[in-house]
Amino acid sequence: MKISVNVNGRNVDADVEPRKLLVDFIRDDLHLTGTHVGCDTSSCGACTVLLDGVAVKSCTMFAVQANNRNITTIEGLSKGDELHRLQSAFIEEGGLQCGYCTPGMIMTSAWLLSNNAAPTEEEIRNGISGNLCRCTGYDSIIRSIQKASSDRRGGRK
Amino acid sequence: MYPPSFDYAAPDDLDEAIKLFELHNDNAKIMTGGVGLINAMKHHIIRPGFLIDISRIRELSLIGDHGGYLSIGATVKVAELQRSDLVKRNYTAISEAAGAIADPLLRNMISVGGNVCTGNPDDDLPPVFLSMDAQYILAGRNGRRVIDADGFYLGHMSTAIRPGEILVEVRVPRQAERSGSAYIKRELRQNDHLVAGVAASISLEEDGRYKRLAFGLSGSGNTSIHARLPGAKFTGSRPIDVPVGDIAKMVVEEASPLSDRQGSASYKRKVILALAREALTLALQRAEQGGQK
Ligand SMILES: Cc1cc2nc3c(=O)[nH]c(=O)nc-3n(C[C@H](O)[C@H](O)[C@H](O)COP(=O)(O)OP(=O)(O)OC[C@H]3O[C@@H](n4cnc5c(N)ncnc54)[C@H](O)[C@@H]3O)c2cc1C
Ligand code: FES
Ligand code: FES
Repeated sequence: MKISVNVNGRNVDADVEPRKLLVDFIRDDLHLTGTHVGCDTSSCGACTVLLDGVAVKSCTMFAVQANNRNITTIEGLSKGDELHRLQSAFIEEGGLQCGYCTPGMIMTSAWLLSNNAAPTEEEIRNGISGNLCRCTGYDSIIRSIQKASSDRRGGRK
Repeated sequence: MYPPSFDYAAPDDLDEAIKLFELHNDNAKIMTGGVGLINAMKHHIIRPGFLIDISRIRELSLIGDHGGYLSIGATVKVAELQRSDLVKRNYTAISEAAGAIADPLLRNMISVGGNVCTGNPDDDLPPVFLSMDAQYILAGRNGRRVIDADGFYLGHMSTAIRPGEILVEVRVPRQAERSGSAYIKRELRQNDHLVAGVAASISLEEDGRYKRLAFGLSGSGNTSIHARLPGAKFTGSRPIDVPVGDIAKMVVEEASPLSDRQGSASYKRKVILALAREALTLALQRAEQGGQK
């Protein structure tokens, strides 16, 4: 089936089988491998992308469902070499260890901050509760998000 | 994990969807959010040959106050239901149940239609709709039919929806002047499978006596349960004369929870008792504060 999507600001026309998962379309067809697959069963959030600005789990969507819509992946957050303030904050606060969950964590955080510029710790904990991290114990991730929400020097809004 | 091949259509018109569904009825499925379907298809539990994605039909995506009732379109995302000020203010338990579903990302994907039509006794919205005497509007080849949520849930994963029918809307009667509601769900840890959930929906007479009391239960048996019995029994009493615990005990009698990884049946009964007390106490507070309109 023919679909037309906008990915990270670029229009893409493609012919996909209806059963192709959005995450595989992004990784295998578009070669944007920053979006990860962890559980493949809607639980871990490693596959999180923004669909029309809203965070969703791309392992639980077919690419055809994204027809005529806008997708933002982790690759679309930075502006060239200039990192998004969330990316800088994760580096500064040690918000990652192995990094597997990180793209999903950051996409969820971007959505969270787009709705709530200054979330409380509890709002952050609830907000990222659909994203699992096996390494950090979450505290450094929460600090990273707090830093990004209060510190806008490092990047664009 | 890949689902078997299928054909896909995403009509933006309801009549078109109904026609397609009729044409492919033997092996088509309606898809709204896709979360339930895609997981079941990945595990090859179901193998539909045709998916009719109704999420682009505009008229099904609205939440509105229609005077006598709250109208919720079938494709409304549960995140939207959770956030809606109208729902929060006047139908608090619906907002609480929507917010209890899965996690924030899945709430952006899961729709009211999927949650209501699956017939899973563990799903969060059905018990609230039961406790509020909601009605489901089904559309099919022969027009529309209205069915009470109360008659909709027949058994585990089994509902009264007929072949070719699409749920288009949930209608919740306007809550009376002095009414209040609450939904509380217990999980062992956040986003884990539930142990049980209880919805309480009450209204009071002008002089403060119970006018209506109804409960809905999730995780408490083979199907979502509407516990009406205590309502009839205590109508006309003053809340201060009837211990909340007595009412909660009668709610538990309606439940037949199953022993599983979340706990034994007897443990779950204790949980349901505690939740029924909590939910009723909260609903009562809300009603007494003038509560929902
Ligand atoms: C990881 C995970 C966690 C979850 N946690 C919770 C939870 O905490 N609480 C909870 O309540 N649920 C939970 N669910 C279950 C979820 O709510 C259901 O799977 C729900 O069906 C998903 O909604 P959907 O819109 O994605 O449905 P879909 O996948 O689109 O459809 C589900 C079923 O409903 C049918 N259907 C959908 N819409 C209609 C319609 N308008 N008319 C007729 N039939 C229709 C479909 O044909 C299909 O059989 C969870 C699911 C997952 C995967
Ligand atoms: S890979 Fe999508 S939620 Fe885990
Ligand atoms: S950093 Fe390893 S899973 Fe989060």
